Amino acid sequence: MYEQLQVLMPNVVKTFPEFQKAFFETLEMVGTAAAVSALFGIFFGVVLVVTAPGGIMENKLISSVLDKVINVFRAIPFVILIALLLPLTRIIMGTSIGTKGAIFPLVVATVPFFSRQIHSALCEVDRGVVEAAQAMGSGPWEIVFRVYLREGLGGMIRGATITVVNLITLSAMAGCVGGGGLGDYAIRYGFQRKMTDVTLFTCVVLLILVTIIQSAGNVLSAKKH
Amino acid sequence: MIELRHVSKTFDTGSKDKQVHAVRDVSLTIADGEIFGIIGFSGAGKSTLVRCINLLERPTSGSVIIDGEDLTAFSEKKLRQARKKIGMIFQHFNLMNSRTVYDNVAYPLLGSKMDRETKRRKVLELLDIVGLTDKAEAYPSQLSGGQKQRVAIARALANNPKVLLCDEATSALDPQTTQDILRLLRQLRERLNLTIVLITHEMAVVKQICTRVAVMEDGQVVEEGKIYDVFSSPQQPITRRFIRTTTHIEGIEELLRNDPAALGLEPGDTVVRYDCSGDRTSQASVSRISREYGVDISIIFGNVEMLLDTPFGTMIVVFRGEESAVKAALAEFERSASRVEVICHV
Repeated sequence: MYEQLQVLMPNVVKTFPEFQKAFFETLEMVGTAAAVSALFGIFFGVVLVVTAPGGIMENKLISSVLDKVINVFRAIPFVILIALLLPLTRIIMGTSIGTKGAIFPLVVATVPFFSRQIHSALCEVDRGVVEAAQAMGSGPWEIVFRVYLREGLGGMIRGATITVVNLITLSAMAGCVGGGGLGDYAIRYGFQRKMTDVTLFTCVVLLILVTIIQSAGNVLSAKKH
Repeated sequence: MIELRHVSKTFDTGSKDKQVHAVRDVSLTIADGEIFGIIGFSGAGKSTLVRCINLLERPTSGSVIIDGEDLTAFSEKKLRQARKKIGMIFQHFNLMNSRTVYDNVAYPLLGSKMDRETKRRKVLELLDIVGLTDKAEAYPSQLSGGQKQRVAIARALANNPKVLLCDEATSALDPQTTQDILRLLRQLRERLNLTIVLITHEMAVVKQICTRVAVMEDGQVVEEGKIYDVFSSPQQPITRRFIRTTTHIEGIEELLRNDPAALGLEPGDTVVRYDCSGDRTSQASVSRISREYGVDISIIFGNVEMLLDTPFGTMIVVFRGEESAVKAALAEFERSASRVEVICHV
């Protein structure tokens, strides 16, 4: 088995400790960025829905400002965003390189994206159900927690799945600019040293990772009617 | 008692000249224990009006007074408390799909000070009232339309409301299920002493269940009164149109106008529309008058409506015979009926 692997992908075998390190770096980047983005994304997504015209806490100013800020950040390509955020990253994370330095730009790029996902998931919640809750005397916060976040859970999980898959892609890109992780590994060995087997192997690993996350997301969201 | 005083609701649609006056200066008084119908075609403003009662739509002007308290003057918090005493059901049921039937009914009790066991008993009692005890663990997606509306009714009653608002509650249901739901509403009114306000575009619903009715057109209440009075002597053209939708009299009138020969009419015949009500419907007026005055009376159309358990009959009859005998018979006819109208002499 080992001999076969050595013939099939000699460079992967040679750099395997590097791969392991990179793999866990990717998990760390994606995991941390996803957790932080989830908090902010859900918050902003909810704010977008409740402050929208006709929403349960209608507020034109908050709604339009937040909407525009999200659009601006979504419009900036990620590589440029990393460069743009460099000074801020250094202040907040203490460094601008490596896994730590990648997490902050990942969060900044993902929060607007996930906010939109949450927003569209919550927009799917039947206005009539919200109205029924209002008629039963529920206050705005009760409606957020007992109606929106519950009725919209299936859609939110689907949005989260797309977001995490997107995060994996972004994290690989962060590798290009000194971020560490699988992207960094593939660039350094696969691209710069022309070790094609490393590139291919990294691709397969990412593919499996994405497939697992997508399937898990599908199963979870299906359970939520 | 529900009192609407000069309630108006105007929606802004951006520019000033595009304001929509959904409700215009409506004043209504609905007594305790009534089943009050508000009927109108779609766009008449009836849905907006019913939403003004629990302030889901805040009236642009006017006040909503329930049991002496002006809801429009309430703070948000006090209004939410007041809403718990006003149940509401909807055309599309508006159940929460992520919750079981049990949890849907328990929803209004979330956050109340009731202990767990009391809540459980309350929910089961409500499910029993609407006859869905065996569906407690089902999800709304597994229920039929009628069952969903029953769950919605149970949910609306969880906080022991005094008022139940029904917004087109039977419009999405088939005729059989509509009957079941209306029967349930009537039972509930008696059992729980509810006041029910019911919005609909179906005259058939109003005549079966309502004690009083208001007819809405273009944001205004154009006619209002006891169901019997409105039905037996409608004042407004729109009210007549609604009544026609349930009596089928339109068809025969059209035939009389266009093709009287098809009805076998002969020259000298007199066609008369005859309304009678209450106990008069059981008197054998037609055969008695025919015998006494020696005229032939044939019935070419007959319809008896049940207006909240009071029969109301409409007939179109043809008089044939000596002119003087017919005249005398008609005069006697007028004495025995609520209303007699000579439609035409052939």
